[in-house]
Amino acid sequence: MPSDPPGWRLRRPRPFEAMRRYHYRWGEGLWSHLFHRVSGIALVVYLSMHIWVVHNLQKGREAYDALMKTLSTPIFRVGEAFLLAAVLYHGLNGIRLVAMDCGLGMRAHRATYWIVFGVCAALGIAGGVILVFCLA
Amino acid sequence: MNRTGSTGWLFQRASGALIFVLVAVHFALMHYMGPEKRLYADVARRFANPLWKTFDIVFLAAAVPHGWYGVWGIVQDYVGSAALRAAALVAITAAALVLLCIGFMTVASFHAV
Ligand code: HEM
Repeated sequence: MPSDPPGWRLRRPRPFEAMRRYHYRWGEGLWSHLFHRVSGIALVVYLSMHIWVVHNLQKGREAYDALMKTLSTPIFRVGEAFLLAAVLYHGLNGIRLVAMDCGLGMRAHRATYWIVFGVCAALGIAGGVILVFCLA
Repeated sequence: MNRTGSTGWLFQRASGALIFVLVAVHFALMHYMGPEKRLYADVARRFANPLWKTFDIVFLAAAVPHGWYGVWGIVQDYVGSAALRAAALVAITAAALVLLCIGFMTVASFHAV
């Protein structure tokens, strides 16, 4: 190994080495973490676009309302349904993580994961259907 | 941030809990309470009340740092090279600051036309 950056005591691990070496268990814990990560990144991307879009308020009433009308068409309503799913999963699972950090529900972590998943699916589908079929 | 990262860890949890409440109100209002809620007239009516401006600025100040601090955590998980990490930290900080400024200006400088 060439000189390692400070902070790596022995050598820098190769990408995904930990997953292979330590037989990372593909269970609820991994999926809950992976989905949390993916939904978090999606929300950062969305929030950045959202801040940029709302900044068009400065262009005045007509321009802003025209933009909002476009963003309320069916294709964007479908996008909103995915946004709802991401924010539901990330938010509910985030509360579950905070609860476990406080020592609550540690033993029930598998059960609470499925509860989060179920509530997220139910609310996501119901809310998504309303967004796409009732509001679009 | 401090040496062990516990300040950031705590911030991620505290801001997450706050965002949970704010995003519920925001999403219900803007996406379900009628299509006119997102039109200019309704935005102007809400922004006439300083409490709604405060709501949006607190939301912004919680969500942008939470999201980008989260991205920094992900970078630390996968990026080993010190140079790349430093570059990512600069880019992440810049992105967060720019978005905070744009968002803050949008809300604070709003005057209805
Ligand atoms: C709805 C309320 C929210 C809650 C309760 C919440 C909670 C959390 C918690 C507890 C973590 C830390 C996870 C860990 O350390 O393993 C986290 C990470 C993260 N959050 Fe949130 N969050 C919320 C909303 C958001 C929003 C709106 C965004 C986007 C702007 C976001 C983006 C992220 C990102 C990118 C991470 C890093 C993910 C990772 O390290 O895998 N979160 N969230």
